[in-house]
Amino acid sequence: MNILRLLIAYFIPLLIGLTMVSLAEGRRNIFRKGEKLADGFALGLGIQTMYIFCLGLINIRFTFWSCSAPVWPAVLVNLYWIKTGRISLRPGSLTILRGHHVFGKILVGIIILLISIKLLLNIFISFSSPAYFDDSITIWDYKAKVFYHHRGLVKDPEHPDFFGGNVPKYPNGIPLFKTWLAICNGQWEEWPVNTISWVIYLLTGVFLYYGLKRWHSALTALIGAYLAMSLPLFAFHGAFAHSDIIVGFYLMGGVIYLYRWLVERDSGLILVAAGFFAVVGWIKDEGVILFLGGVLPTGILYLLLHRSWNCLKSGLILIVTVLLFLSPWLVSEIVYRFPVAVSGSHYFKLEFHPEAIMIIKRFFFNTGNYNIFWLLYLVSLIIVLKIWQKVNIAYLVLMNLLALCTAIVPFVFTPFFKWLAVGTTINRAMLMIIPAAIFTICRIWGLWLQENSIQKNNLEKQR
Amino acid sequence: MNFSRKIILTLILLLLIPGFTGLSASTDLRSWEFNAPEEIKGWRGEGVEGSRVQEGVFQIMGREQVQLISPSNLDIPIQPDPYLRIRYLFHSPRYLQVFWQPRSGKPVLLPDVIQPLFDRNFHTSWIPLTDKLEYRDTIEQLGLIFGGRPGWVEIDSIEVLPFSLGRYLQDQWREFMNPRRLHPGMINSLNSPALFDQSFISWCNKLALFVLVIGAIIYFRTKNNRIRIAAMAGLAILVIWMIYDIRETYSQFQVAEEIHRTYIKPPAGEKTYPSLSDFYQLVSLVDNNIPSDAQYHFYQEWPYDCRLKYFVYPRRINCDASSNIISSLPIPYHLIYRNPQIQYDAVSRRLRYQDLNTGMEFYISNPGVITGWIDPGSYIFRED
Repeated sequence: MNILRLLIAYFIPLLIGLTMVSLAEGRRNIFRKGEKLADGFALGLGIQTMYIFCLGLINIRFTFWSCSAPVWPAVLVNLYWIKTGRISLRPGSLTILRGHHVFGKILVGIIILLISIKLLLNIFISFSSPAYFDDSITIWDYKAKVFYHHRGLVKDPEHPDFFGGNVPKYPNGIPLFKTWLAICNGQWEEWPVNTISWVIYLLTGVFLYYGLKRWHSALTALIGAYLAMSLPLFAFHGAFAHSDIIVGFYLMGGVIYLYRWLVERDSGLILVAAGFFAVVGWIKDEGVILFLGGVLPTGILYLLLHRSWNCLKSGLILIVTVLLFLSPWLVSEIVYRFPVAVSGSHYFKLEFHPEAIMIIKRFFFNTGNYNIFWLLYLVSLIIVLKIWQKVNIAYLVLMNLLALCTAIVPFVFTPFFKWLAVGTTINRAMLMIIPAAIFTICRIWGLWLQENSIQKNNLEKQR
Repeated sequence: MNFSRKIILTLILLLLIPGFTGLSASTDLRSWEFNAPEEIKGWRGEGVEGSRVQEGVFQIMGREQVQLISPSNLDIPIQPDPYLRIRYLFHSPRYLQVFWQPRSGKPVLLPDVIQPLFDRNFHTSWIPLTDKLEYRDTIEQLGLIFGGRPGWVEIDSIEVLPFSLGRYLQDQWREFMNPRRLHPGMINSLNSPALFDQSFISWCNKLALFVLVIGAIIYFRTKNNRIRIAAMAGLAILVIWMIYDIRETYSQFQVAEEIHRTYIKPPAGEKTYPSLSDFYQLVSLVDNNIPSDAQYHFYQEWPYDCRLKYFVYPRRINCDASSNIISSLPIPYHLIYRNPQIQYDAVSRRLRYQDLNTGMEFYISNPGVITGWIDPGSYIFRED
């Protein structure tokens, strides 16, 4: 029974999001079926939680019926689309195992086995273990439990449960989704509310697969998904209720669709990308910072180099969608006078910490957090010099590098260094960047191999 | 025979070497197993706050720097190039350095500073005592320096012995397979297993770099088959990634296994949780004995205060580090969890607090009763 309730809890945001994605797509068929489902859930989670937040702002009690209200128009719209044949319920085809030689099939088998073991271990830990780590207990699960207890928002600043009690300034996307899961479950239990961690862990792999499959073989796409899902710290977070991988997931989704828009220029893609960037700011403040530091400058550069009305329009759509989506939260921040940043003003001064470089090097290359990711990343940056003019790959790399700098620079050039020295935040900050970076790496290697293949064919033709 | 076959054959031979060379046990020149309290006789320490021998382990509570000096007149000959093999566990981040006193002359401080992974596992280190020619003399006394943060140091065994490849490889394998133990700091960073005194990931990075350099050289020398070389280099990198991932998956499995063994399998009264001990029994105690709208005092800090605040919400906590009290309501409950500074005084029926530094004592509650308990040190006290 609990499982059924949980499935309903996940199905409702999925349907809401799916409808929005279908609206953005129109009749152009720009998403594969599996991809669309993953998009639907990811965006639906953001839309539904922001809607629940608005209910809280206007003092409407959180109940199953009040929180699920947006799904009913979505049901009607989808029924109409099924009737008119715009969408079909036939499952999409799975091509992972098709078309490989024996070696490829073995590799696919090993990768799927390794991913499955990790996923099952994460599900096991998530189902059997209470929330354990500090941020989940003091922020994400705590706020969710407070919202669930009150079935609403406490807006009295003097009350200890004001905007979730702990760190009222933190965005409420994930806590409110956990509240929603508890509402569907009928009581507060640890295992259903913490399912979101491994669901997002799984979705990261699904997204990378579909994101890469657009341009590369199923095997390359699967390797990309595997690299993200087997990154040690990322996989570890998949079992425990922290939010860093969720930021990483949404940022990656936005980057993938924005890059696709740079290549294909379909307005549906910019809308979906904007959706991802909007939700990332609703998960953690760092999401907004990475968007402003990594994505926005790249977008502006692209607009400056491609001056056309269509590009400008798409840029405006992106910004307006993000701002529009986040407006209830941004207005609340102003009305309730939340500080601009969680950290105190003494953090905002420039000071160079040269020792930070060695500490970062040790974390990147000598701890067990990243496998050999950073070496692969550096090598990919060298390879990209050879192919930087191909299919706008330079913008993808720039987005990535700027996001990485945005995440690292505070540790090297501000008093934030103290958090680097104790090692509590740097690796978690990297989890927000790495999924998009893995997409970039796979895209670079894929393009480079294609380039070599073209050169080989040309040589053979010349002979 | 092609290149790859040669490499595979070399690797197989390298793996077989330990079987042919010294798998047989080496003869110890001197050893301490600490199976009985008499075995620490003659050892003296500096910076030691307390010590004991328990279950075959020599336990020392030490300050920032602890020096442990062996009994004198060890008379260990130098000719067989002895090694110090020490198996130990640090309960705080520390390093180990060794010195020894020759028959004549000044003490010799060895340059190796050993900093094992701080992962709550026992580690085994092999330290060559006589690397340089000028050290040629008899070892009369050994000294161990444990520097770093104050805390417990546990020593399972100390041996001085000639180098034995078999035992060394066995120890390295054990180091490599050490389990990953769940603790609240792990969400920030994961250790990489150790192998031959370096992290496994640093070996993987070096190997991957080697593959990439070789790949790049071949790539730029060839004109015809570049696609194949690039793909092969990529595949080799993927294999290295997978090798590390398999070891990592095993660590993940060990975490799941530890949770199952300590938390899921035992019956309700015996459940513990990694690094939190019987904390969840305390949570159950509060759930069963304190009304959900009540407020309570709690006398413990991290990692318990924030966890209790969450798990027993909507009950309201009041303690120095964490607080969500509603000020107009009374706070009748006191929750004592493993805090020897607070005692229940049966005569006055009040809780008494003792400052361990000054020895001062004072009451912190009105008269009341103990309404529930896990053990004599963990209970709920309710004021009348």
